[in-house]
Amino acid sequence: MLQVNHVTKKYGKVLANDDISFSVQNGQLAVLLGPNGAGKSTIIKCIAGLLRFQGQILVAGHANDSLEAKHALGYVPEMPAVYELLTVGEHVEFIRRAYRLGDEANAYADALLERFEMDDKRDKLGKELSKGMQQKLSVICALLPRPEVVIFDEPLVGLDPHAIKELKELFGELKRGGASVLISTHMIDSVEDFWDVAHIMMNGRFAATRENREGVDEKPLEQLFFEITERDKGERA
Amino acid sequence: MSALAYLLWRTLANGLKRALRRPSFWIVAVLIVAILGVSLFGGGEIRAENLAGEGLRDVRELIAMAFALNAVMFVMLAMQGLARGASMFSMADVNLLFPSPVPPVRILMYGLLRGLGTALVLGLFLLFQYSWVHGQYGVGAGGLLLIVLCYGVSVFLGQITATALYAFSSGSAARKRAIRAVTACICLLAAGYALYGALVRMDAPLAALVDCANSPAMRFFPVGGWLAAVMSGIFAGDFGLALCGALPVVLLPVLLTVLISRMKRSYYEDVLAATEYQQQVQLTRQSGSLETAPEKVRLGKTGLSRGEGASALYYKHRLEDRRARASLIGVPELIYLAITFAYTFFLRDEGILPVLIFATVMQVTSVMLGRWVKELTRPYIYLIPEPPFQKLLQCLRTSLRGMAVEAVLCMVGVGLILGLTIGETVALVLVRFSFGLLFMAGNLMIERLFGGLASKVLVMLFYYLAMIVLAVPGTVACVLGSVAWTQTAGYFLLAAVNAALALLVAFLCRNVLRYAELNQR
Repeated sequence: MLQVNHVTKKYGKVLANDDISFSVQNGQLAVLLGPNGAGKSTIIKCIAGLLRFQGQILVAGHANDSLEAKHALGYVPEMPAVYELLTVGEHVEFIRRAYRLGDEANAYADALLERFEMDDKRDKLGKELSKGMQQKLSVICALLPRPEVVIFDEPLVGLDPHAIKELKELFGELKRGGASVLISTHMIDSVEDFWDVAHIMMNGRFAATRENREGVDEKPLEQLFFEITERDKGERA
Repeated sequence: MSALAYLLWRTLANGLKRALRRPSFWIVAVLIVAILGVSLFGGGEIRAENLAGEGLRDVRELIAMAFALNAVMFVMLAMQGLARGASMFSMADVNLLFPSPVPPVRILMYGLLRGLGTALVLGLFLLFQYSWVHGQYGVGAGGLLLIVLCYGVSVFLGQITATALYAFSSGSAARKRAIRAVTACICLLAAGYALYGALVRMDAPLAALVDCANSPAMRFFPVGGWLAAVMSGIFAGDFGLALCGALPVVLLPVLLTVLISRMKRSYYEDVLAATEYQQQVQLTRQSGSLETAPEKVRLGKTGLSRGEGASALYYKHRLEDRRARASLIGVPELIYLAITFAYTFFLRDEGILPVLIFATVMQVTSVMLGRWVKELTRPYIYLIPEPPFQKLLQCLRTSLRGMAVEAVLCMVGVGLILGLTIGETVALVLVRFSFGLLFMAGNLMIERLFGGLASKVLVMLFYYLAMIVLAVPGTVACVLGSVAWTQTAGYFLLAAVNAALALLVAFLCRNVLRYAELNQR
C-alpha cells in the first residue's frame, strides 16, 4: 500500500506540489493525469525518494526513505536510466545482486526479458539500445525485485506497440497480484481500460479525483480531463 | 537585420541579461576582478624586484611556451576532424538553421564567428598569468592580450581545420591514413629537432629548447609557429616578421572556408556528427560526469561475477572501467607525474618540502571520484535498499586502487630523484595517498553542501577553499611532529591525521545518497 500524506514540495519559490494526500491500496491502480508542469513527476520523484519534501510518504507501511520501503518499491523513471557500459544481462544481474534477490530471481528475470522481447539482446550494451529498448530495460529492472508498490512515470512514451500491449497486460497482472500501482501519464486513452482511481492534477494540486465504479455510467476520463483543464484555463484568462 | 545577425545578437544579449540577474555571476565577476587586480599590482612588484636583482628573464622563453601551447591545441583539435569533425554549431542551429533557406556559406560564417568567440573566451584564463608574465618577462597588458588572442586564434583555426579535414576524409580510410601520416611526420620532425638541440647542449637543455622553439625552422610549424612569429615580431618590433606570421594565419581560414563550401554540395552532414557528439558530451558533463562512453567497446567477459548489496556497485564499476578502457592511472595523471618529476629534478637541491607542496597542489586538481559522480545521475544508487554509508564507500572503493598506485609511482620517483631513504619515501607515499583520500572526501563534502548550486565556477571556488581548510589540521600536526621528533615522523603524523579526517568527512556526508535532489546539477 502507498500512502501520501500532506506532501508539499517547493523548488525555491515555485510550489510544485501543494499539500497532496492520497493512497493507493493493495491491488489498486491509480493514475495521475494533468498537463505539463502540473506536478505529476514531482510527486512521483518524492515517492521514489529522490526529492525532499514536507509531509509523509509511506511505502508498504514504512517511511519512503527507509530500507524496508526501498525493498518494497519499484520505480520506472520518465527518462530511461541505463548504464551505457553494462549489457542487458548485466543490468539484470546488477539489480539481482544489489537487491540481494538470490539465484531464484533468474527465472523471473528470464521471463521478463522474454516478455519484453529483450532475451535476444542480453549481450547488447546499454549505449547500443534504442530509447524504447532502454525504457523496456528500465521496466524490467524495476519489476525484478517483485515490488509491492510500483510507480511509473510516463511509462508508455517511446515504446513500440508490442511493448505497450505487454506493459498494459502487466499493469493488470500487477493489480491482480496485489501490488499498488501508480502511473503518471499524459496519454489518457492508454489507461482508460484498467484504472481504479484517477487524480487530475493542476498547478500542483488535485483538481479532481474520480473512482472507476463498475456499472456507474460516468463521463469518460478524457472528457472530464478536458473539462477541468480548460475550465481552469478559462478562469485564468 | 538579417536572421543570422539577429540570432547572434539576441543570443549574446539574452545570455548577458540572464548572467546579470544571477548573484553567482556577480560573485564570480568580483572575484575575477580582484584576482586580476592582485596580479596587476603583484606583477609590478615582482618586476621591480627582478629589475633590481637578477634582471628580467628572456621573453623568448615565454614565446616558446606559447608556441608549445598553441601548437598542441591546434594539432589536437585538428586531429579530432579525422574522428568526428569539430563543430562551432549547437543542436538548435542544426535543427533550425540547416533546414532553413539561409545560404549554407552564410551559416558557415555564422558558425565560424561563434567559434572564434568561444575560442577567445577559453583564452581568458591566460589573463590570470599577468602577475607572473609581467614580473618575470616584463610583458605588459597589451602583450598578454596578444598571447590570449593568439591562443584563441589557434583554437579557432584548430576547429575549422578539423571541419575541413573531416569533410575531406570522411568515408575514405586512405585519406585519413595520409593525413595521419603527414601530421605524424611534421610533429616527429619538430620533436626530433627539439630533442637534438637539447641533447647537443646537455649543460643547458632548457635554453636549447627555447632556442629551438624560436628558431626560423620552427616558424613553419602550422599555426603554432606562425603565431609565434607574430608574437616575436611584435615583441621585438620586427613588423616584417609579424606580418610573415600573420599572413598564413589570415589566409588559412579563408582557404578552408572556400574549400569546405566547395568540397561537397553540403557540409551539413559533416557537421551533424560532431554537433551531436558535442551535445552528448555537454549533457554528460552537465549531469556531473567527466567521461562519455568510448565509441567502440570491447565486450570481453560478461557478468559482474561478485558482489551482493552495496558491493555490487563496486564490481559494476570495475566492469564499466574495463569496458571504458580506464586504466588505474589515466593520461592526465601520467602527465602530472611527469611534470612533478621534472619539477623535482630542477629543484633537487631544495629538499623535500617544495616538491611535496608542488605535488600536493597538482593533486588537488587531479583527484577524481571515478564513477561516483556518474552514479549520482542514475536513480539506482538511491533506490538500492542498502545503508547510504555502505553505498558511498563501495562507490569510492574503485578510486582507491588507482590512488594507491599513483601515490607509490609518484613518491618512489621523487624519492629516487632526491635520493631519499626508504623510511622517508614510505612516509611520502602515505602522505600522498592520505591527501588523495582527503581531497576525495572534500569532493564529497562539496557535493553534499553545494551539489545543487548552478554555478560551476562557484562550486570550484568552494572546492578549493574547502581543500585548503581540510589540509590545515594535518599540516599543523606535521609541523608539531617535525618539531617534537623528526621531519619523517611529522610526515607520518600528517598522513594519519589526513586519513582520519577524510573518513570523518565521508561519514558526515553519508546522507548525500539520501535524496537525488542533494546532487542536482
